Amino acid sequence: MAELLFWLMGGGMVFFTMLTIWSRNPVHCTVFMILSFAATAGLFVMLDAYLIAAMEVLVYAGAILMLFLFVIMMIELRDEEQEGLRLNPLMLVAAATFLLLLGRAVGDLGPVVQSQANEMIGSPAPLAEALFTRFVVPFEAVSLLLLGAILGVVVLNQRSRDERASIGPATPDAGGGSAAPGSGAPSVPGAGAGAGVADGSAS
Amino acid sequence: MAKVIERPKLTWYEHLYLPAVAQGLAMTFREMFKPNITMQYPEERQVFYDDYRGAPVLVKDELGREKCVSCQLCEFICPPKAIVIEPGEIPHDDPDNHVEKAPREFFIDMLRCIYCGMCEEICPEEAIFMSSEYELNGTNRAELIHNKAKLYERGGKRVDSIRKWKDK
Amino acid sequence: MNETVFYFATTLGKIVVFTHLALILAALMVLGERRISAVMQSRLGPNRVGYGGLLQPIADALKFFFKEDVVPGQVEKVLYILAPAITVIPALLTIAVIPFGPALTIFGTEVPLVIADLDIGILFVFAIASLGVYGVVLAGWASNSRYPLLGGVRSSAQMISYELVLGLSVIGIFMSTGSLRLLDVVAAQQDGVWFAFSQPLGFLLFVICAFAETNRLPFDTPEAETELVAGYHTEYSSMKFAMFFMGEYTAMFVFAALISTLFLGGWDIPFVTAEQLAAWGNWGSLLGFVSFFTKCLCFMFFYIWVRWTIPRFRFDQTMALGWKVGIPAGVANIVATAFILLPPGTL
Repeated sequence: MAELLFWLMGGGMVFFTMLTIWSRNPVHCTVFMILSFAATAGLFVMLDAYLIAAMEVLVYAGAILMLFLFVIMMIELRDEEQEGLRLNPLMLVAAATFLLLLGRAVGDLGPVVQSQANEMIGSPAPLAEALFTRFVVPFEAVSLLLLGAILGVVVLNQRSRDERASIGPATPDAGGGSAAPGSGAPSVPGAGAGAGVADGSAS
Repeated sequence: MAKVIERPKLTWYEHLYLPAVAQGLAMTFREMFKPNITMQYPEERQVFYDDYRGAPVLVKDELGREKCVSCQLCEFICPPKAIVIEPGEIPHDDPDNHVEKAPREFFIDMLRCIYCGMCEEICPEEAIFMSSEYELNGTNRAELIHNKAKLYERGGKRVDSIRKWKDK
Repeated sequence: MNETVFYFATTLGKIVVFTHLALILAALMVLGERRISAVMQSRLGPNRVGYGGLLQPIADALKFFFKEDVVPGQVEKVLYILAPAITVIPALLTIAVIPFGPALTIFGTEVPLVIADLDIGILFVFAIASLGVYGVVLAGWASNSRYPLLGGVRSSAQMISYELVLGLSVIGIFMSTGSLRLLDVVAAQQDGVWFAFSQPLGFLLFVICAFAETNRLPFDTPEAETELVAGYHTEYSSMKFAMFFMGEYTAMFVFAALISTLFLGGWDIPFVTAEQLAAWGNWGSLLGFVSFFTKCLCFMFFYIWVRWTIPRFRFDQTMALGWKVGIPAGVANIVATAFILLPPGTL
């Protein structure tokens, strides 16, 4: 039973990921990516890592890909549909190298990761424990990095808006205000939700 | 020079908006206990005053004689051309033959009628009236073209002070 | 009796009962919505089918079944047909972790009135509920027409913003209970006060997000009928349209149940302790269930009440409320809770 589920989830994950790459329609890509994330979440559930599974669905499938959809629908990506897949010999090299590395990594780490995962990510409390004691420095470093990235986007966006304002007629804040959440702010969900919920489970 | 109206400055209390929301909710809640004004239509019906302009009908006088003399003024004045009259003669041996004319047929197309009441106003014989009937329906278009029989059936007798043919 | 068979039988029973409960309630909500809005506007509302209009939902459903199912030519077929299902299924899935009442005792075995008692309870609800929005967004996109697309874009932006606030608003609760399990949350409220009183800011934010997440007025910008015709479901007809309705009302029930569980004490009855309730056995469980359900119904009434009171926000106002008020307030709530929870003398 567990074996069957594993192959179902794993196979589904690989299958949908490939479809993500192959579909030429950006919205279809996103939908396949959601399915692929759902399959990944299923694999996490089979490892008893319910928290990670929920996070996978909540943050990635729920928020990040929603953002992708939002952007795709906003800018109407249609040209991509016409272009066929151009094969480049470098692609094969890249794929082969990646598979080799992946094989090495899985071969080396497989059992170790499995055993550590089982005791660590089973439920929120041990995960939070690890995150806020042993891994607190990398965790905070990553959040700082993300914060920097977010601020960078805001700053860049601000500058281009100032330039636009100085050239053309000044756009009032009401007009610009609706653009700002679309471009700058939504980068937050991944970092914000992840960090926020982890905060809660730690106490 | 355009006139600029300043938005009122809100106090911090007003800026919370929650008291205003609560006020609104209280208002709708109070509204729930007020009596409703719905009329249960087929059981309860609107009562109209006498001058209500419903479907036009033909009336007979106190002796049950046709009032209409088929002068066709109503047909002429009718803005949507809903009225069609086929004039006819009253035969010589009829006791009412001093009137000479009466409609052989009288059609009012209720699909065209706009209930303006001009036919009633122009009628020199006071033969056509706007009734208070407002429920008109049928299963096909032909049913809503009222003929003479139907118009008289709906109009019935109307007794009023004018006795135009009393002594003739 | 075999333990496994008993487990499967009770679980199946719970699934059937709870999902049907939610669906029937959703249907009755549609009627309630119409009757209550009518009363608030000095009207009567539908009162002809059955006693006081009670059978109106059945008449509505029959009407939807027999209507012609129009699929416009320009739509993206697969996603267009899937979208209504994507809204309904997550809404029904989330019912799995909601505790409906204290455990029943059947044949000497305790059967908790929750389909799946997960460690991460609330996160499961949020994760699945966040998928429900895809139905709306994909419906908007697959319809391949202007108004639905606008509705879908609005919906996606609104969800991204309010899911954050939703997550932040409940963290205070989990800081004080120390667990994400909904049963633990209920137990904590039975011992102490309801979280609606100890976490008023979190409660307020959660209620606001419940409205935003279920696309209810004043946050119904995705389907704003005065500006977007019917928003994301403009191109839908017949049973597909009805499924959007079903999904929306089921989601409303789920959020009502969540609010009852998280903030209004779940099945807790005021001034009755958990021990007293347990002493009454199965009758106590039923009483708890009734208490829980009453809270849900009260909140459902609140949904309708607010809908017919407050006008719709402009879209930029919706976003401003989420990002500029909701998130700072949520963070402030967490910080305040943390300070209160600190053992005295730590600082």
